[in-house]
Formats: sequence, C-alpha cells, structure tokens
Amino acid sequence: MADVVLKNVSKIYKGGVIGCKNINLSVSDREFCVIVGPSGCGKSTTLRLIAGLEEITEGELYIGGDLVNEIPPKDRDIAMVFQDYALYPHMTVEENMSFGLRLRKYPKDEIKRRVIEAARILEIEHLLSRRPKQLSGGQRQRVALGRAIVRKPKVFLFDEPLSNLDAKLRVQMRIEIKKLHSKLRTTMIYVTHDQVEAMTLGDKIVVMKDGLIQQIDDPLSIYEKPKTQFVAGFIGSPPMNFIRVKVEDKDDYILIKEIGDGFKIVIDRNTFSYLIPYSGKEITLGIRPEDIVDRIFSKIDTKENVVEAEVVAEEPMGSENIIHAKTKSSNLVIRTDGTNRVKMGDRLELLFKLDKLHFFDVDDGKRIE
Amino acid sequence: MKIKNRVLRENINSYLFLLPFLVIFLIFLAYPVIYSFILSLHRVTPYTDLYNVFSDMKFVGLKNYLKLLNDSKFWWSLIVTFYYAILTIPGMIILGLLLAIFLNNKLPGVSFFRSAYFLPNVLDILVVSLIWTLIYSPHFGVFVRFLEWIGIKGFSEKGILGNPRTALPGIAFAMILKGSGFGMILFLSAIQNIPHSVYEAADIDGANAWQKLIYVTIPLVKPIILFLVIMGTISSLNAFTEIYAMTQGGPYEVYFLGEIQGATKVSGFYLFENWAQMRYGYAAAISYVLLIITLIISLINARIMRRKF
Amino acid sequence: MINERRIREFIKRVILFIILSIGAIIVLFPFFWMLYIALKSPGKEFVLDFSFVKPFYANFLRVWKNESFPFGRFFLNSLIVATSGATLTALFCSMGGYVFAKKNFYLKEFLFWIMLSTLMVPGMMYMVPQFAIVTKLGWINTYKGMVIPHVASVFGLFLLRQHIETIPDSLISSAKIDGASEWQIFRTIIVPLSLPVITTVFLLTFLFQWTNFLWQLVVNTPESMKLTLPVGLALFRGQYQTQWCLLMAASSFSIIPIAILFLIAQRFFIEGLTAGAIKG
Repeated sequence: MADVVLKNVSKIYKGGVIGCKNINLSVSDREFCVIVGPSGCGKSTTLRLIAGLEEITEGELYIGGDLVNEIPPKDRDIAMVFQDYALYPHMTVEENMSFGLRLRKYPKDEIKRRVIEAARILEIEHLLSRRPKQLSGGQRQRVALGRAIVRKPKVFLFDEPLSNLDAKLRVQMRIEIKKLHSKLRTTMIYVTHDQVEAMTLGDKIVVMKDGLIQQIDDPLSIYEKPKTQFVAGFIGSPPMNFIRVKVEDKDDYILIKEIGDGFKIVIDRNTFSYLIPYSGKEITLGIRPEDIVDRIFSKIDTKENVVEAEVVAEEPMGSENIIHAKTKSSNLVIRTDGTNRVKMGDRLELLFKLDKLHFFDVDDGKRIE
Repeated sequence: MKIKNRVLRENINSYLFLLPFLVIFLIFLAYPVIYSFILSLHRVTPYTDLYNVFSDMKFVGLKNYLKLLNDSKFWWSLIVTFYYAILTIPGMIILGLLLAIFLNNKLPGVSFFRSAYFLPNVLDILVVSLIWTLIYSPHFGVFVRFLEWIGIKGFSEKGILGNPRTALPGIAFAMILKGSGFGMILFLSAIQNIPHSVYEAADIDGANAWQKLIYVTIPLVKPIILFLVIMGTISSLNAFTEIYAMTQGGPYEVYFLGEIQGATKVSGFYLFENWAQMRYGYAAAISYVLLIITLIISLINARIMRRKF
Repeated sequence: MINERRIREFIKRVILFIILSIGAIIVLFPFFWMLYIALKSPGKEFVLDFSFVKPFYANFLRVWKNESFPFGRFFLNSLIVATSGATLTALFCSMGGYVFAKKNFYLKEFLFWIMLSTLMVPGMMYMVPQFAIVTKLGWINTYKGMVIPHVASVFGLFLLRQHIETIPDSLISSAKIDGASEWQIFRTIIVPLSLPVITTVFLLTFLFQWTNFLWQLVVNTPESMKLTLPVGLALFRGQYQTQWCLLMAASSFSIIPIAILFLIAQRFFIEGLTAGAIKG
C-alpha cells in the first residue's frame, strides 16, 4: 500500500523533445487515478517514468514516501499491464503469471497458491496450462491482469490496457477492473485516451495535453467545471459546443451576442459578474449538448433568449437523439430525448440552460469565472 | 551525475553482451584488414622459425606491389578468374531462373524437386569436386565414356580436366550444377511474391508467356539478379577449393606474356600458392589488390544494375 | 474448347515434369555415382557393372579404421569443429544481436557500420593475416585455431538483430518489472523467442565449419592430429591417387550426414540463406 507523488517531474529526450513537463501529481494510497489525453500528450511517458522504465530528467518521484528516481523497476514494487498485454508467448498462462515470483525466488507452494488465487478472482483457472496464442483478446487481458495481481505490488500501473479490445469487451473489462480495485484496495494509475474510461474508472482524473497537466480533479468536477477549453472539449461525448460570442455590459444585464449578427442572450449581471471585465471583447461560450433544449418540447413559454437554428442532420440512437443544427454562424450539437424526432431543414427554437454556460478566454483557453 | 549512472550501466551491460563477439571480430576480422596491409609492405623471411614464422620481417615499402605489376602470373590469374566468373554467373542465373519458373507450376512432387535441386548447395565443395574429378577422369571416366557414346572423341587421353580448353568450363559446369539451386530458391520466393493480378493484367494486355517473362518477371526479380551477380563475382575471386581438388591450377599448357601458365589458375589459387611457398608479404599484397578489385566490381555492378532494366 | 485447353495444360505439365525429373537426375548424379563407386571392389571402379564388394561396407570400414588416414578420427574432428563453432557462433551472435536490436550504447552506429563493411571483404583475403595471427597465438594444429577465427559471424549477427527487433519492447519492459536481470531477460525471453533463427544460424555455421576446407588446410600441418574430413580427403587423394572406391567411401562420411541434416532441417537452411539475400 503506498501513495505516489511526482514533484516537478520532467522528461526531456535527446534532441530536446519533451516527453512531459513539470508534472506535479499526488496519488494517495488506494486511489484510482486515471491519466487521460490525446495521443502524444505525455501520459504514457509519465506512467513509464513512474514504472522506472525511463529515466526522469528532472524532478522527484516518491512511492510510499521513498524517493525512487534511481531505483530500478524491479525494486519499485509495482506491476504494470501493457497495451499489448506483453504476455511471454513461449510460456503458459501459469508460467506467465508466476514469472515474477519465480525470479524473486518465492517458495513453490506460495507461488502456486497465489497463481490459483489470482486465477480464481479473474475466472481463468481453466486456462492455466494454455499459451497466449490459444487465448482470445479478453482472456489475454485477464492473464495480464493476473500477472500483475499475483505479485501483490504496492502500485498497479495500466498502460491503455483496454484499447486492443472490441467495444463490447472493453465495457465488460472496464467493470472488471473497477471491481478488482475495490477488491484489492491498491493504488492504481491508469492511462487511457478514452474519456469514457477515465470518467467511469477514476477517483481522480488527470487531463494532459502536449506534455503538460491541464487539470486534476474528480470526474464530476472535470465535467462540470473544466478549467480549460481543451478539457471541456475533450471530456464528454458528443463534445461541448463552442461558440464565438461578444460580451456587452448593459448595466442592468449582460448581453451575449453571437459573432456575425447571430443570436443574442441576456444574462443576469450579478451572477455573471466575472464577465464584466470582458465587456466589448470576444470570448468563447461553451454549452454541452444536453444543456440545450428545444422550446417546443420544454414547455417553457418564454420568447426570450431564443436561439434559432436549422436542422442539418440527425443521429437517432433510440434512447436519445443527437441533432446537428446551424445557427447564423456556428454549428450546434443537441442531445434530446429519443422521441424528439426532427426533419432536415426544420427550424428550431432553442434555449440554453443559463446555469450551465461555460466561458473561456479566447487567447489562452482558460475558464473565465 | 545521477543520469550518467544509468547511461553508464546501460553501456556496461551492452558491452558485456557484445564482448565475446566484439573481441573475436576485432582480432580476426577488423584487425586483419589493417594487418594485411602492413604485411604487404614487408618481406617475410621464410623458414626462420617454424613456430614463429613472422619473426623476421623487413620493411620493403611498395616493392611487393611493384613486383605484382610485372608479374605475368598474377595478371593471368585475374584473366582466368574473370573467365571463370563469365562461365559460372550467367549459367547459374539462367538455370536458377528457369528452375524457379518451372517449379512455380502446380506439379506433383514440387517440394521434392525443390529439395533435390537445392541439396548439392549444402554439400562439401571439396568432396563434390573430388566426385567430379572421378566423373571427368580420362579413359574410363563416366563423362568421357558418355561423350564417346554420343560420338565426341578426343577426351580419352587427358579427360576433361587435362585439356586446357575444357578444364575450366568443366569445373564451371560442375559448380553450376552444385550452385544453381541457391538462385532457384531466391527466384522462386521472389516470383511467388509477385501478385497474381500483375500476370492477369498482362494476360488482358495480350502478352504471351515469353513476353510475360521479359516484361513482368525479369524486371521484378532484378534485385535477385544483382545479388547473384555480386555473389558470383565474389565467389569467383574466392574460388579455391574446386581448383585445388580438380586441377591444382593446371594443365600448364598456356602461354601468356612469354611464360607457361596454368589454364585454371584463378587468383585465389595463385594467392594460396604464394602462401604455401611462404611468400607472406607478397601474398598479402595480392590479397589487398583482390580486395580493392572486389570493392570496385561491387560498386560497378550496383551502378549498372540500377541504370538498366 | 475447354477440353482442348485442358489437354494442352495437361501436356504442358507432363513435359515440365519430365524435364524436371531429368534435371534432378543430372544434379544428383554425382552423389549416386559416389555411392556406386564406394561399393565397388578396389581396382574394379571403372568396370560399369553391378558387381559390388562384399560385404558392402568393406570400403567404409577400411577407411574408417585406416592407420595412416583414420577417417573415423577425421570425422570426429569435423564434428567437434563444426559443433563447437556453431554453438559459439549462435551464442555470441544472439548476444550481440540482442544488444544491437534493443539497446543504445556508445559507438553503436560506428561498430555497426564497421561490421557491415567487413561483409564486402572476400574471405580469401583473410587467409594470410589470419594465419599470421593464429601462428602468433600458437594455435596451429588446434581446434581453437580452426574454430575461433570464424566465430564472429557478422551475417549471423545481422540475421538475429533483424529478428530480435521484431520482439515487442513491452515484453522486455514487462520482464524488467517482473524483476529479471539483463542476463535473465536474454535467457528467458530473447533466446526462447529467437529459437528458430538461432537454429538457422547454428545450422548454417555448422555447414560452413564442416566444409571450410581452405582454412582447415591452412591451420593444420599434414601430421596434425586435428585434421578434418575434407583435409584428410585431400591428403589421402594425394597419396592414393587411384583408390577411388576408398576415396568415395570416405567422401560419404562428409556427404551423407549433411544430406540427412539438410533433409531434416531444410526449412532453416532455406530461410536463413534467403533472408541474407533479401537484405542484400
């Protein structure tokens, strides 16, 4: 059981290529921390630094309170599950799982006991004598997990472990991993590019981009209060709508105008007082697809703040209906109930939920609040 | 300092793994290239000390190389080597390609044929040469008898290898039969890698079998041909064992630049003779000239093949 | 129409089959001839009939236990030289190939380039300097003199490097986390996963050492106890020019084991030799 702390950790490769920069992160004991971001954002590098597979250029890394910068991977008491599972193809499942214990010269019966215990947890007891080639993708994934479990490490590291599975299995294994965490109660650090995995698995989510940490928070805070426009757009599916608007301070209220003579929204001056300094300037308005409602279906009878849009496409999915519509100068994605069907060219009268508006600085993408 | 530690450890580990190979490589493959040159600038006195043959060396500068320039035997050996290359390389390529094209058909026993043609390749060249000496031998040799049976006479007295006109072609024939399976395997795998659709497109374009060979197959196996030409050149320059076993460089019935020359004395065998006569400095000089010739030929081959086709 | 085409196709195949069969007979003729002569009585080698020596193995026995040319001993020498050479080569090439495929170290590119360029040097050129070095080391008439100078096979190293590069890095990372040392990674991960290629390198080197007549001739004086089969054969022939049946019987000791080895492990030989060509 251990916490993991990174202090100003950077990885700079030969030729100045930045792997990750100034990473400050503390994962407490038994926490499930997910690092998420697009490919090349430095999330895998960060994980490999924690594992000790790569050298930390700058900064300090503590596992369980000990500085481990110079400790080789095998002495860090960690286990890692790789994207391609990294099962040894020439060994049986049992040999794969016991390899680490055998190298550490554990007694035979202890090894046997641990392998069987792990196999039982993962329901792969019947596969122990098979070789990786004879297993399905999901089974290989379980073996990879099992190999990590038998070691009873202080920290589990996962490097995109589900990305080689098909969609259905991925959902299933996601739940397995979640169950495993609550059963083993060990610190886990999990890297993924899939924001759904991040949201569903993490106690704590770290969003990274271009080698830098964008935000560290619990899933709901990340969703409801994204600190940057990047985080807002990365988390959530379909992604948040971004509309370029102009702010006008009208003393009694604040007017938000879509660029290019589009819609106008009136908002309360007290609630949105932080927008006053931006009066006369352009900012980015963000609104999630589910926070836009069609006036007709919403039983709201006001004509105020109506945003007019024309339907350009629709993706009916049964439980919900994703509508793509066009305002004067921007495109909107709206998530509605599955029964709300529309036709191409329909004119919609839309209302934005005013308590769900997000505003971002045009220049640095930071949240305005 | 800390960072350097890990880099240092990685370096030490790597070199520990590489060490056995590297030591042997440096002593027996890299150093000899330099040492050979040094040796070629010396005269080694023979018979000084049997257990320390190289104890008495005298620096003579480029004398060995100058001597080489006026050595008709050396020039003759290069001519023979060139002739040997011309005799073997096209034969091996054509036979190898033909066999590959034949074997690329659905026939019973294809894999048997493949093994049969490839087998001679892996057998000891000295033994194969001895067997051919027997086959080629005068009076009773089975080849000579076969020739007489079909009405070709005149080989009875000296056999194939005793006749200066037929000795080298005889050796080349034996080596082509031994070696063409190698080309066959290479051509076969290259031909099988050509997509079937290319041939179908040629069919639709109205190409006949011959045109498909010339316009489709050969251009696509061009890299193999280049490889075989280079390999063949190098192995001609390396040719020794077959000459040693079959003719010992003879028969000595050819005149070139006023001296009697061995009809089959390729440069490799001439080099060996100089070594056997303990002219180590001179032999080293020959080696160096051969090395340079090899490099030049490899370069020219690569150039020509890139431009043509 | 269809019938005519089928008949033409059938005739084409029959002709091809006949051509290939005749070709195979020609190519393999020398080896049948060797066996045929090896079974003849001394002095009757050139009588083309089917009367053979009795018992049929008489010639083989005579050369196997010959006093001045003990081919049994030569055979053993060849076996020792080829086996030890192939074992060392396979081991050293695997170790070197692993490092070149998966590690970074000082002078890596330079060493690689140097090794690559020695592939261009014709083997004949090494005879004189290698002989000089072996003489200075006092390795004349020894097994190590025959074996060690040819153990650093650059071709084998490249073949293994090429293969080991295809082993995923994650396996090595995983083994590191599992607690494996460098040597354990090599022995428990790299070697088992490279076994087919290691076998290829082993077999090709075995073949090379088995048939490396010139070098074995150079490092052995005629009275050496370490003479190998080809050198023994050459010397035997120098003395008994006309004893063809004995010479052919002795030749079989070199040919037959290799032929059997080839037929068993054909795949490895062919793959190894083709891999070298495709790279070049």
